[in-house]
Amino acid sequence: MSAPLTGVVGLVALLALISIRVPVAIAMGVVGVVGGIYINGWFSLGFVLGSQPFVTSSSYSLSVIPLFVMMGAFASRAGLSASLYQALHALIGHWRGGLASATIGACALFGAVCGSSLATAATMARVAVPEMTGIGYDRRLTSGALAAGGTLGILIPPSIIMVIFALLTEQSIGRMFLAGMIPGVLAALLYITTVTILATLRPDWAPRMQRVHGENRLAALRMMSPILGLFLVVMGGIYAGIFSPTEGAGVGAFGAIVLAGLRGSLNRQVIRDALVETASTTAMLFMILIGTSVLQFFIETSTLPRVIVDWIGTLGLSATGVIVLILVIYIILGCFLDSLSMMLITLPLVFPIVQEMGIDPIWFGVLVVSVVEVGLITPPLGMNLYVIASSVPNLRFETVAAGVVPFLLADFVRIALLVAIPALSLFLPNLLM
Amino acid sequence: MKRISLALALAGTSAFLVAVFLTVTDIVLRSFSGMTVYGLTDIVTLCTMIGAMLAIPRGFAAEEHVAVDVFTARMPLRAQNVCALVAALLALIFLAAVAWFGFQQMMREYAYGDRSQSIGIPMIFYWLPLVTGMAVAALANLWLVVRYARAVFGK
Repeated sequence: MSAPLTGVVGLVALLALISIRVPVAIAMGVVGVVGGIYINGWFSLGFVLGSQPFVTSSSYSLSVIPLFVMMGAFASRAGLSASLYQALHALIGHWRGGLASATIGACALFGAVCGSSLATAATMARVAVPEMTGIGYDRRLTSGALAAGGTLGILIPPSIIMVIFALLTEQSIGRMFLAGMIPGVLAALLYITTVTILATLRPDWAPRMQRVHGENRLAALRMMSPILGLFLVVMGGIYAGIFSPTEGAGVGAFGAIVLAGLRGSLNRQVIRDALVETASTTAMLFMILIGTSVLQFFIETSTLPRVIVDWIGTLGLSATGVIVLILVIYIILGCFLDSLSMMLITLPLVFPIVQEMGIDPIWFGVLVVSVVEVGLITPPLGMNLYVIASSVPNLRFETVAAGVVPFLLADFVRIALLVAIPALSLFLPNLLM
Repeated sequence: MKRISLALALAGTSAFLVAVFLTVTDIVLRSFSGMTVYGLTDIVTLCTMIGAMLAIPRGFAAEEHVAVDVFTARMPLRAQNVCALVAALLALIFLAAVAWFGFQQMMREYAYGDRSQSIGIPMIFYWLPLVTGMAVAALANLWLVVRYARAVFGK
């Protein structure tokens, strides 16, 4: 069997293992080892297993991951999400579909300090659902807005998935963060537009609230200041050159701990829970990175990426055509694969194509993160849908899946805009870095 | 096994807190006095290795590592247990192999006297969390293998 064909067989075996519930990291590792031995012989085993996991996990730049995870874990438990929601409730709750829009706005702002979609969705569900349900919001609109709003956590910087993309493709984390800024805001605006349209078409789905006046609106703004302050300190410090992204993550984690302390919510249980969450998420991410490093060695030595690049060359597609093709494949895969795993499995194959075609890697990164984000809300394996369904009593998965459909349409509009107008992603990084 | 791996994860994750406080101290020091925390990069990397690697066994013991159950969830219970047994066996083999080859590489670097770049921490301290984490994670999977084997084959 030729090396490229071995690569194809390996990828099929990988999907087969994943489909029988082998942890994705282990599936990648096992296929990488077996494929590597088949192509390179037994001597490669010592190198792949003895060096690759260590080289991958002992890099200083990877320290940014657990520190941002810790920042999100403490921010989730500091009660910041409730304040944020109440503030936006007071500011825009009187709009048509105002509470759903407030939920999306709160998700966007909370995602900015949390960096994780699942944590954003779960945290905001606890805060927003009782209020929206109490006022009489339709459960489809409520759950759809929450599931979609939760995805903003990985697009609006600082985002853990962006960090992983930047590290794997050797891009600047700072440029990646800047590139996600406008698309993140665009996503939030499109979601709010979707809510407004739904509330206009079906007024019974979203009862209107009374406007909040004067002093109460100022109080609402003050409630938002801790979370906005934390975001500005972290991102401002990174872009003002005061500290690196890794140091920024450390400052963010410290800030979240201090905020939790100032709000009186830093007890023993909260610290323990935040540390356990940090441990779980970090372990999951590092294990997947180790699996990816082993798989990557196999894929590279199989020369499969080269064969695919040559094949795409024969198709005569333009760079945009290639991007559209890749994104369509990603969206289909995203329905069946965990989003992060999908990105990590496919990057060793796809990124060489992107480089060969001269496509801007930062722009490509934003597009990949955007479709990864869509994968979080596409049934049957949209993780956010499960998180929302499991966070709210008596809420069926099917209701959440139906509620998210209009927001998926908004996502497709956004991705089309991002493909058509690369400046939406590249303007800020080119301007500031 | 769940308790042991949780204790290990919590102990390891405390290293992240050390990294956070040293990072902030370094920024404050260099902003106001021009001094820095000597060897911060090496120390933070070591803290990351300790925290991340010692947390990995808990992910397996609590079955929290990313896996796709959309197909297996519709299978009969016995078939689900067979899949879980296969998964735990593969994880056991892979993690034990990483621990074994990692241990060999660690001993080679120890023999060469390899040290970190800025403050010369012996590299064995970076290897130990990885080898320990992988070995304990392999044990966690051995525990899962026994559990699922009992479920599949009876007592």
